[in-house]
Amino acid sequence: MNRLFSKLHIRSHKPKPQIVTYQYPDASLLGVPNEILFEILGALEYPIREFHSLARVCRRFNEMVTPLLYENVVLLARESSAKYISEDARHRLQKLDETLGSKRQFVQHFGLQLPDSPSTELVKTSHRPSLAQALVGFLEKMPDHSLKSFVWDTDLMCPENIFHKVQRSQCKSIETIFIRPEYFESWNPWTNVFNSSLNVVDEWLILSTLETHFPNLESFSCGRLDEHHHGGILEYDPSQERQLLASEESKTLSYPSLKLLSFDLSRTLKRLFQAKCLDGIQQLPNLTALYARDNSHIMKLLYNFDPVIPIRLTILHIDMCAGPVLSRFLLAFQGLVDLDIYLSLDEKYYIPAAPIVNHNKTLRRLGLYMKAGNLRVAEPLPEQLMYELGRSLPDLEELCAPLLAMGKYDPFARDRFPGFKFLWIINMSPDPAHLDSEPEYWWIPSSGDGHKTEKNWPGIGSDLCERDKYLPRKLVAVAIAHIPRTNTGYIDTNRFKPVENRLYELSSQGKMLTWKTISLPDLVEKYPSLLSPFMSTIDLPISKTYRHRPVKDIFSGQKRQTVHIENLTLQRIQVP
Amino acid sequence: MSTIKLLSSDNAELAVDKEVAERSILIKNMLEDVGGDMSDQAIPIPNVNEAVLRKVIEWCEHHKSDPPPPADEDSDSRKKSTDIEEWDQKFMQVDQEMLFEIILAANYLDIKPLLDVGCKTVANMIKGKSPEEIRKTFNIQNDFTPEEEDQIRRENEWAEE
Repeated sequence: MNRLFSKLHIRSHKPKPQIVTYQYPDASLLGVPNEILFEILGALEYPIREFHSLARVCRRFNEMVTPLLYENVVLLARESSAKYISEDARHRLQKLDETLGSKRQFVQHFGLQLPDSPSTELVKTSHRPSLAQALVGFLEKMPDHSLKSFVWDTDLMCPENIFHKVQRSQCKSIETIFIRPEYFESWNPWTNVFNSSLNVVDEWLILSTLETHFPNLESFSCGRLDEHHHGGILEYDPSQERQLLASEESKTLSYPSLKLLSFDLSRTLKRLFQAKCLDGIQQLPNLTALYARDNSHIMKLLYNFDPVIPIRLTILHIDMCAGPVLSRFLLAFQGLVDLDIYLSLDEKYYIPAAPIVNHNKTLRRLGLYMKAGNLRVAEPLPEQLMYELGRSLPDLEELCAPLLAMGKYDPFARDRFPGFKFLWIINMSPDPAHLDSEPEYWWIPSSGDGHKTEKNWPGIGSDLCERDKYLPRKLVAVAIAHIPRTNTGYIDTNRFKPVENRLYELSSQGKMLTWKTISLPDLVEKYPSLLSPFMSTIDLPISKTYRHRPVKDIFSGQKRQTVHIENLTLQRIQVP
Repeated sequence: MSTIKLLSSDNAELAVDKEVAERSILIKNMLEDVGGDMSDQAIPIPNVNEAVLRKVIEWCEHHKSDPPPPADEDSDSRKKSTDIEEWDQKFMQVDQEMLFEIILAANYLDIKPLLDVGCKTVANMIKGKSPEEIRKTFNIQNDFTPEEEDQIRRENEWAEE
């Protein structure tokens, strides 16, 4: 506040500033005002670890740090044997329960994030409640409408009363829900919550009643998009398009609170259409990010887009959508920053360059995957498409795409894609060993032993460049994901092996270029604006940003400064 | 290039390139308010003494051609404490009082990147330390009884990593 005060003071005395006497804060850690202390806490690398120490240093620090320690109660797997992880979570919950007391007011994020199927929870015993039931007990003690997020990111069955409880006592404050829906016990919680007479309860019905049950919900993620592209088969028949038309019921509904929507469930078209509650994307006027995998209903959302009603969408990741429907949608508005789609040469799915280029003023990242027929395989992108995109997207910074096959065209030649900074390529080579000696592009570093960490490359203007080979001028990093081929020679995206990935950072000194391996966390830290990386490794890029990262506005409006609480459960998440 | 004069709290007058001084948003705004002409009069910086002001100017000199920080204060671009550039690290090798003086001055003068470097430096000093070590490092009086301290430890045990 002293900054503000002084500024106002001097402004009020213009044009003749005068010296004023001023109480100067003491130049020590305890002497600086809280706003600076929070800045320091925000700069900590492992905040939780340090918060534990700081909480015991003195009363002032304790008061500052305690709310931050209790903010996030998403019980996650700690480093221990996975088998006993639920025991650990159970133990922690018990400890927390014993000492919670007045601190329960600080809890904002609540839930469970454990690896798949902790074995000790699968054995039902009569003498103690399950971990999930213990969580219900905890929820009972939470003040009403105090939680901001609820996370159920585990294979453990979620007893129906947990969600019931969340829905009943926390609905007004909840901003984020992340669930793996398949692990709700037979979806009964929803049936109870919404309408016990419903035969079909699916995520779209949840959605249809969100407005009344969760009036402040901003982020709704249902499923696990973080695994891989699904690339499933979509039933699409152009002659049946009128079936995609919005229902009359849906035209009167809108969901203004939702900003992020993420789905991953395969349901039949027929079933989805029964919901009749969400048929057009303009029913989500504030949605900025839409992630969907293998979900035909998304097609309906896009099909019914009404260009007259503005939308705020900037991130669109769709695993599978009929080409004509997606093309029409992309041509009907502008403003996407991050587009990630599956293509197919099959004309049902193919998307020409024009709809993508329509977003050239804003598009910073493009993820393109090529699917061959009905097979779940990735194929190199067509030359003509890459040529047109490269010519028309001068400001594109990140591209994630399968590499072309050996000996074919170079999409980066002739200075196309000049704005590239990051390239995330999926290696199509059948033989990684061969690739090491002869990479597809002259500038891709070899992974051969002895050269893996550092290799010098001739720079721009060298002989290689004169042979019509261009390194994207602004290139900073390249990630190469190797995908093993199946016996039939196709690349099997479901058997993607992260261990074979390579990630390099480029630096140049004069005409000499040097590639150095860099870890993904380091790269992310160095280039925080990067849109592509996600998870702990280079994955197929649909998953990265679909969940919220908890941030706390610790100045409660006085001065907007967010502190990112790293190393907590939701750290992978970026708010678009 | 025009030069302006700054008057420290202990009445020392320092001449600085306008461009350098304008790393301070406070000074920049003030110059804009008065129409840019401050050639005949020193700008009083009442909260900062000469030694600290010289240090701050040294930092601004070195960083005068840095790109401006992103306007969006909420942006995700804050870097963590690990990446303080080498020059800044050396610059911050001062005694603790000076370090906090610089932080307070950067805050007062509204020089966000310098404030960030200062806060990261302090964060690095906290890193990996026990409560007792933190107290020693920053000369903080322990106002907990041993029982209280132990109780806090037990209470927070559930959240340990």
